[in-house]
Amino acid sequence: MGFGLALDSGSLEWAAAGAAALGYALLWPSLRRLPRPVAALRAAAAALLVLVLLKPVVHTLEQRSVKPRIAVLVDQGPGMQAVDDTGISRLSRAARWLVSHRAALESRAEVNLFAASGGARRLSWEDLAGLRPSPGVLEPAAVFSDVVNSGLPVSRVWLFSDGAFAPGAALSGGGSTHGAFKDGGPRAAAGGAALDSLSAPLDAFGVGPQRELPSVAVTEADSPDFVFLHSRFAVSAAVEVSGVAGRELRLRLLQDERTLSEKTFRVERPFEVFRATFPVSADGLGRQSFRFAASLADRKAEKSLKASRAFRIEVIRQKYRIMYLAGRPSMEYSHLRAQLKGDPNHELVSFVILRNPEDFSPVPDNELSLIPFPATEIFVDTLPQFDLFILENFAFHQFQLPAAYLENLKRFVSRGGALLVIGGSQAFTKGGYRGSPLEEVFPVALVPQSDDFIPGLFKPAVAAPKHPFLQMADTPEVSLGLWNSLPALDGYTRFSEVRPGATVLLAHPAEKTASGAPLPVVAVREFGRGKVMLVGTDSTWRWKLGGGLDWKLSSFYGKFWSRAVQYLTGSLELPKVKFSPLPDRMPAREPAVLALHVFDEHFRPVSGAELDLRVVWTVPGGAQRSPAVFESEPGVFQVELSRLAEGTHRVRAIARYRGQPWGEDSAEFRWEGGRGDLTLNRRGLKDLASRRGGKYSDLHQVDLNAALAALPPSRREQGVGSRRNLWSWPGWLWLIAGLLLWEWLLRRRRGWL
Amino acid sequence: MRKLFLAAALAALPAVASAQYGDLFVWGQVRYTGAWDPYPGVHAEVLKFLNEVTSVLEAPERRAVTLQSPELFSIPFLVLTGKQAPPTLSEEEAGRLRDYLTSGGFLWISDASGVAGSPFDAWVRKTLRGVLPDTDLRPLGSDHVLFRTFFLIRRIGGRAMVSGSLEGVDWGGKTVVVYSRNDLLGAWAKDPLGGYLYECVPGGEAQRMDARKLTLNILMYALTGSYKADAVHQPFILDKLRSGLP
Repeated sequence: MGFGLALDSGSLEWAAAGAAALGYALLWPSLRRLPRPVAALRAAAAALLVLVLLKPVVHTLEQRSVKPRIAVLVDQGPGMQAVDDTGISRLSRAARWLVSHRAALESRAEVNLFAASGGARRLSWEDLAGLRPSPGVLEPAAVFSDVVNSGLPVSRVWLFSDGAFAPGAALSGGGSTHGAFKDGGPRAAAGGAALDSLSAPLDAFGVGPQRELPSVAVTEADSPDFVFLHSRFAVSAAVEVSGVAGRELRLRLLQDERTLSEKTFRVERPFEVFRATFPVSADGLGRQSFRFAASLADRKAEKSLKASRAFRIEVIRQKYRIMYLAGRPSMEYSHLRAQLKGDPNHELVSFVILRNPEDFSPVPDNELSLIPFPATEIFVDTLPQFDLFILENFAFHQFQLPAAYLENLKRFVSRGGALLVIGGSQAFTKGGYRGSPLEEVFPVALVPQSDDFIPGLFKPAVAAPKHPFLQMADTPEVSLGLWNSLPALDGYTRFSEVRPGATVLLAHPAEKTASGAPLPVVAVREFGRGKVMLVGTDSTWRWKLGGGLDWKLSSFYGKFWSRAVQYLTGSLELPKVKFSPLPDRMPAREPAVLALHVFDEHFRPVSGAELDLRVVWTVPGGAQRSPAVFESEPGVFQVELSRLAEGTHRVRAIARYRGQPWGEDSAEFRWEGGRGDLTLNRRGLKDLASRRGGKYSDLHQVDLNAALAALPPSRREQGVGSRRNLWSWPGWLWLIAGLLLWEWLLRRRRGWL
Repeated sequence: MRKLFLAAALAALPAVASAQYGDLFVWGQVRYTGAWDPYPGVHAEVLKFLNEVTSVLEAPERRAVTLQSPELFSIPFLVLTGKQAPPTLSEEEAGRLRDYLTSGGFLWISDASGVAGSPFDAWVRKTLRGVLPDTDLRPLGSDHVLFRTFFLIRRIGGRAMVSGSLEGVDWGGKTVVVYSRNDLLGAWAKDPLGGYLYECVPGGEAQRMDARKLTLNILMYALTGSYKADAVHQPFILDKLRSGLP
């Protein structure tokens, strides 16, 4: 034991003492003339007064032990009401465990209890027993932030939870709510920052089923929403297995029930998470369906130990490579070439025949900008490199080209290429296509007469008003109004008949085919794996010029040809509105979150400002609700479903982009309430604990001694034992008064008055 | 004789206006109060040359329209020429010309006066500033694709050498107005016997040939746009330009 002396004075006392000292100093000149004994007595009285004013204290010093402080967070989220195989709720189990170990805990640490959901709230031990689940799911960002801001310097954090984190803090890919702080958008970023601000390690205690039922679950399927044709991409899956230690797990990636690849894992521990990534090649265009299938490798595997998760990927073209071959310079060529060239999604190669073999040349060849017609390169060598081949008013026979070239073009279409044939006086019969291999590809049969192109104004009639290609406006009515208000076209082609399977989109208002059907002006058909469009006139430039007369038509021409390319290359039908894949069974955590992706025509994320999104949620029983929707990042919209009823739920999203119908998608999932078979999000809790340097344990398997051993040891520190206020002794006043009396008597006695 | 020819051409206009041409190239010409057609038969000469030399199929008749005509927006190629300043455009006419040019129309303006600083030239500059105030009339560089749309043009021809370059107005990445000051059309004008009406000074027949080639390139530019600027043509064109001819 030791002693210490200190001053207990505040600012007021220091000011008073200072004033006393100052007053003494000011009187010093007169005091100097006094006899020494008198001056000494007065100085002693003043010094004693200043000392008393400074409030001296004396204390004893003792060595003592200080226990580490732990913050105990008890998850109060809705998932904690689940009753597992123990007969009581998870929250009650966590509370009971803590209460039953209170003595051991408090003997080793200073325990600060918090209820954790949308934030962290201090609890007493008495409050803990009566804690009830809250509707708000645990939000780690808010909880950790509250703990940090509580001002308690904790040595360790203990989290009792089933791992049902707020959706934003979980994995975003695949709509899974497992895992923590990984690619979860703004919420995850905030949660990660709050977690980092926790200076103490975090131990997680999983509160869930005690019995490890054998199970296999594909908990995650990460895949891109869309990929480019012919590219290679990766898809990955996470599979959680429990209760099957010692057996082999087989994970397969299937496309249309065809196994693309598979991997096998040896299960070593009672609970394990396996991750696998598979490379995939995007060989087909459009929506491709895939599925991860996980099962135990041995043949006797129980049916329940199989799991799968399906997902879809849209395969699109990165750039549409277009070959445009025109028979002669024309306004159609000039405008359409500029239109195609101006679209950054088009890679255009075009050739136009500037001079025919019979044309006269007034100057030597080196004064002409002409190049030899690269027919072989166009029809043979480079043809497979293109997605769309445009033939405009090109007289094939004029160049005495081999018929094999047209056979090649036909093969190009049958293998998935697109062909657009644009009319003109030499585009069809006169151009030498009648009876050629290419005629078989056309949506129409050609007439035998070579003068099949007839000049004359006409307004084409819409023949297939519901065809997606013709939807040029918000509604079919407005679209039809636009079609009807277009300027007239000039010149059309006579055809013999429309081939079976072809669709006439626009027809001449009066003329008929030889077989008596409305004469096609625009017709489409599929041939093999490719698409063909025929436009029987080369005067659509009139629509562009007509846009100068009517602002409503100003963008019509561009939209028409842009949609034509999209239709022919297959991207018009590709969905632009899409829900992320959902697990077969949604985890019973509220809110359930669905991610909706919306793309523009070039598959770029759509800004919410330009989007009108309507989401209809049909609950079990058929009632409809409007769920909360917010944009978590450009083009990605979180649909949050709360107060879920047990059963099958359907969610339908309808999007309008820039005022136009853009697309819709629907998702369906089964939600099961707080029953005893809810999974415990061990992986999420493990991630959380490992990130903060802590450990994870199932609550029913916690080794309390080991957990307490992880706490820092109690530290010895010197503290104040007892203290005595010297200044409060009344004798000081008597002492000062005695000194002053002594001084007075001395002056009286010696005559120093 | 020229007056007679003009009268015949004017008489034919109503019939021309109602005719349809299918996919043929149509020579459109702006008609205004005043001498809007200094060389009445010259379009036929140009179109004949176009037909003989290129694969373009043309309508034999031209179509003359006013800027207020309903037909304006069905004629994508227009010539505007004169020796004197045309009347100032009304607000409506200027608006229609703006709409025409910004929706895909092409205008070739040819100063037929053959002198620098002509009233026609002043009218053109003032009018274009009013029609397209956001763009400027600028000289076309020698690398402009117009000079290689068919012939490789190294020199600017015309009846009179007023300027060594063409000028133009760009809109949406394309030159929508081309302005020539050397009376290109005057170099084509012939008398009824087939002889050229005017000397080309100072370059003579070579200058006339340059004018014919440039005229055709202007038409081909309207019909093919920037086609000859495509990369596939460049090695051939550069080889020919390097050959030093003509």
